[in-house]
Amino acid sequence: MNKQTLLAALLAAAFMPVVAQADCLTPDTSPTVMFGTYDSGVTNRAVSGACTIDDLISDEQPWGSQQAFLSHASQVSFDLLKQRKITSLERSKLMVAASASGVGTTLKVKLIGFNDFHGYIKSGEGSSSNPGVARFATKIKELKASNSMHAVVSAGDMIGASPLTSALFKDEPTIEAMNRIGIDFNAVGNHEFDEGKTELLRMQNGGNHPTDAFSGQGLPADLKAGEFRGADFKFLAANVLDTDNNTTLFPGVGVKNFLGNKIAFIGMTLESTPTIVSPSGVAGLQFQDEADSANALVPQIKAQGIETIVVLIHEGGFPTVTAGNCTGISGAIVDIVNRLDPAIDLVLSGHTHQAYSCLINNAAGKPVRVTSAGQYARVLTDIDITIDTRTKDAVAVTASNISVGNSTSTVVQDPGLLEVVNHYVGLSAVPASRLVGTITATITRTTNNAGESALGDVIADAQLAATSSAGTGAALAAFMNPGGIRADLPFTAAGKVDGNVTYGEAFTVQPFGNSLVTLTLTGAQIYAVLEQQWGVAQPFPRVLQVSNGFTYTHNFPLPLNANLTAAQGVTFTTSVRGNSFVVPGSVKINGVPVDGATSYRVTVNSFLADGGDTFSALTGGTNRLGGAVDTDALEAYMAANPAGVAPGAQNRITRQ
Amino acid sequence: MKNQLKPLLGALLLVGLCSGAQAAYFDRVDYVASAGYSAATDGTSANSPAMDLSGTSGDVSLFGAAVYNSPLTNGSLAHSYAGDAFLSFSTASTDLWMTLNQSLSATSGGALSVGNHQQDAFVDLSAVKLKIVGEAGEANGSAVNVSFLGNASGLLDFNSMVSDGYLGLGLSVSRGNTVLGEYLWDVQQAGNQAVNFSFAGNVGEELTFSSYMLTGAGLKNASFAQSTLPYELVNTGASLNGSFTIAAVPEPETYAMLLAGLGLMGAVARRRKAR
Repeated sequence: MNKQTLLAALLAAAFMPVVAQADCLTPDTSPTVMFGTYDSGVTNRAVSGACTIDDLISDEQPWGSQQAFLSHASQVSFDLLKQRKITSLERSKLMVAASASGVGTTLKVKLIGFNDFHGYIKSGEGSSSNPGVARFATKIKELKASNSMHAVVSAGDMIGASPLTSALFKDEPTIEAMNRIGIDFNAVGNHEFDEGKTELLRMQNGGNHPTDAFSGQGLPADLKAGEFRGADFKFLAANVLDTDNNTTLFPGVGVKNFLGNKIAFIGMTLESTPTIVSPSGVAGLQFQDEADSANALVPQIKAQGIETIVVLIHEGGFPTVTAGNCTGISGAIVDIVNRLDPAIDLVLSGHTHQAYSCLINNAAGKPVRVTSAGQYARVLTDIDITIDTRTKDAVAVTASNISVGNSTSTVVQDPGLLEVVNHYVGLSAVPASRLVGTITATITRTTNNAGESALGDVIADAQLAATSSAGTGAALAAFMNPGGIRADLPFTAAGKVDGNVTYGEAFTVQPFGNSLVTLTLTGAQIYAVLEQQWGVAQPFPRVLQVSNGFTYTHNFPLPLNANLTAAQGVTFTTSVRGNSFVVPGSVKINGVPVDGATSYRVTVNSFLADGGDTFSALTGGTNRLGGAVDTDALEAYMAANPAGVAPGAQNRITRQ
Repeated sequence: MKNQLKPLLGALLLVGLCSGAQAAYFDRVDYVASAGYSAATDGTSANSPAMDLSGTSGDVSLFGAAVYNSPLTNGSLAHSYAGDAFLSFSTASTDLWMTLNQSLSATSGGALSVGNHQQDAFVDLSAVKLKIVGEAGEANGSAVNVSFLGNASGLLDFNSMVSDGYLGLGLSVSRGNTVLGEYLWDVQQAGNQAVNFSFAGNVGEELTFSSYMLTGAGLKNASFAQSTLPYELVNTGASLNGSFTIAAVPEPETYAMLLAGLGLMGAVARRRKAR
């Protein structure tokens, strides 16, 4: 202990009474003194002002060890004995109860988990389902208030692929918002690498961006020396090696101490991050096997006397949910957890944007809790870990996902966070109106009965154009998921010249900031992808938007130009999905039938490339090459069509 | 201004005492500890050992408590104890908290007679080996001053029916067979006592710390008339607490500076007073 700390401790101790004289505005008036649920049999009564014996015992507060509680109970009860407020027999009874109650033998720690936040700080931005960081903060604050022993942790993609309000300012608004909330650790995800390691290190360490004028625009309270402050929390990257110095880019492990009971958090991203991030983003970095990286850290962690180990991993799965419970899970996370050291007590996952709380067997065949909290601040995972204060190991883990609400829900918006959001909304008003191109008419996402929309055509064409050259992917076709098109491009809107498309509008259409991935599929895999539009896992039909030159015919039996009615939905899930509706031989690229055994280069966004929207056939795509962000591709496409982009003809998909 | 001066001087003095003070701390090397309770009522005995919650290193924690009701013809004897010892280690100080209490009461539905009852309780840290470790973990033999600053409390209610009631406590620190600091109290009257001592030591050496508490009481051929209220016979307890701190022995020139500083502060104080 250094001298200053010692002095502070001495001064503090001098003013601290042996028995804390709390105000006891609401005294504990149980008839007998209770230790947890254990009845001491001693009559409870006021012994210090309004404070009762039960108040002074403070068994409800967290105790780091049984010794700590017993020592406290011993001091309180002896003081009362000395003052003759209790008898020696009563003290004996209190001490018997203090010990038998087991108070202090376990400590409950609350973990508040989230993932794939993606900079969705502004309520309603991108989707009315997004509650915004101010509601998110309120929910976190409530969870924190329920247990002073807590940690807030993120399983990656906190930043990157973010909407305008955060993205325009280099995601500094999101870091500043998280600083205000007070979070502990963020494992890196693939999107943390979108702008490369130097920029990611800046997110941690602070300082303004070297060239971008939108950097360092935070409120004074959020800056340091007038510049972006960096994250107050720690980024973790156990499986990301900086090849310059052969050390991990960030620490692999973060530790938080709860009254002498430490939890180690191992943070990491998916090993295949380089396949879904543009090569420039991962230059100079090496991504290693997730399970091997975590397991290698376990002995080092245990050597520090830490037995409770949590993995924060940006990789996930797709759960099977029956009556609200996870009854099964598929995806990359399964194999990873199957290989994890049994010393690991809990896994917070992400990347698939799913919300789940499942059990997956570890290397010893024992089930481990694996959670994920959806996306975009909509969900938080509320986890209680019970630690045996003697062995320091976790003895129980429970988890449930709670909804944060949406952009119209009554959840109170935290004023401190709202201040940050409003500040950046104000600053982005002008850039949002920047002209990115022109259109000849309103281009809508309304689909025809074949499932094709005019805007879907345009976006798929933009993605093909951005990846068709030999250097950018040599793609022959592009597929766009319909759910990734969030709004129409209006010809007329307030505050702009007719036909102009603003940056804000382009962002609203494609707010996810997905990057393009060009991959190789066989003709058979292309057929499989198309059949997964109404595949067995789809909750409703999802018709991919396709680029010019790509054509096919299907005979899907339900309407595709409107949402299915409830009755049609039942028909879909009970008897339609899982069947084949693509007409054999009808799939053509530039008029040439697609051959099952031939390989084709196809572009999709990073979401689809990972099997999003249950297009798992796309995960079989090989020779992946990362490309531009989708809005950049759209902007480039508009720039290449200065006369204005016209609505797509919706003539690529034919319904028989 | 005069009113503000006192706390200022106090704070300065504290700073002076602290700066250069914390040079070393105790580390636990080994310990022997036990506690427990035994009672015998007309041939029926009860026994309750304490829990040892001590870790493999660091803090020593002993804890025990028990409540008994011994049935007899026409009534019963209720007797109990609670005892504990906590020795906690940090680089700032080594802190002791020990308590022991016992009780005895008789309930008589008719004429109650007790031939022989005896109860005894104890807490005993009989040999805690402590090593003086330097601030940076060194063991270079440099001179330090070890001091203990604490309190003892005793509560002593023995009914005249009780025979052989006793309550005692003590602690000591020794180097081999040489006692360096000691405190003993055979409690005959309730009250509080300060427990202070200090001695010279060396960084790196091992010392032995012991501390104990004992209490007991008995009934011999005692008779109790029928009563609706129980007879309260024994209500005793004791606590012993305090902290060891280890300070470097200042070099002569440091003493000179400290004295000069104190003199200067005294002069300032006098001037202020004169105004």
